[in-house]
Amino acid sequence: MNLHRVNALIESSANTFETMLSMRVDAMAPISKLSNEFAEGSITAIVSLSGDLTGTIVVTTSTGTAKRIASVFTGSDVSDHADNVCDAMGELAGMIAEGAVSRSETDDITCACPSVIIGVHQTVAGRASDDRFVIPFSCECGEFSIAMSVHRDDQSFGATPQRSPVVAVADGATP
Amino acid sequence: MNTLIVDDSRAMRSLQRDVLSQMDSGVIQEASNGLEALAKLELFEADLLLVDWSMPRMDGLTLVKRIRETNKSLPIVMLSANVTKRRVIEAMKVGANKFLAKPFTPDLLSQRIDEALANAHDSG
Repeated sequence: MNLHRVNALIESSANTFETMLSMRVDAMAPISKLSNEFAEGSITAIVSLSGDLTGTIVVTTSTGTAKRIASVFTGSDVSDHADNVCDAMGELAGMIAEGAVSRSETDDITCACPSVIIGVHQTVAGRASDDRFVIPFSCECGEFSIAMSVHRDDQSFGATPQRSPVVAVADGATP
Repeated sequence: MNTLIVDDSRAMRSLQRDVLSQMDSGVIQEASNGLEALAKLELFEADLLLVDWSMPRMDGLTLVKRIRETNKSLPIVMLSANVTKRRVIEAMKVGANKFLAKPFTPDLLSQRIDEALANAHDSG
């Protein structure tokens, strides 16, 4: 599990909820996912990443929590309008994903437009070789999770900057 | 001040509409992508455009480019959640007057709108 990616997602989620919903979110300890299926929920917003890093960021929650979040986001009761709930959850997922990749070491990661799926216990699977983790969150609307699955060869987001080796040079010598 | 809000998210369009309603706004129209916005602009004389970057069918950057081919003075605020230096420069290069990072507060949106209007007025 890459801690830089974890922190980027937590910071981006907190910033998005605080700014758009005036709501504090609390992140719990991230969990590494060993199985291919790394995300599960009844409302699932998926953002695909491409470019220097390929993978997905997935926001999942229960229908009730999604309705409450969407109602706060839009400032009106949208609980009877599934389209509006999906729209709000997709927009939040997009902001969280874009905010997280903006904190990466490279500009060359593109977030696709979010897709939102309604389906009880919908699961999202990644490739067997992917690096996968889930961060559980809680807020006054309920609990939700943000999962990330990244192809292991993609090191640009969260890579530790390489330091140049220190070379001691004696006077007059050429390294 | 007639405004066209171009955003694929209904929730975001509604938030922007709320902010505009508190300002000196005239008619507010909405479009959910660049192509729809171009069609609306054939009939609707906008004084201000709020354009989301990421949209299906035609994105905000392409829309601004297309508008600037014929209209150099329309004030445009570009909104995006991906705020890299490269993106901001790209938006300004194609002709956006101001860039607003998502997430944003209502105050920040109204500030950017004022700045875009002043900026377009100065350069016009």
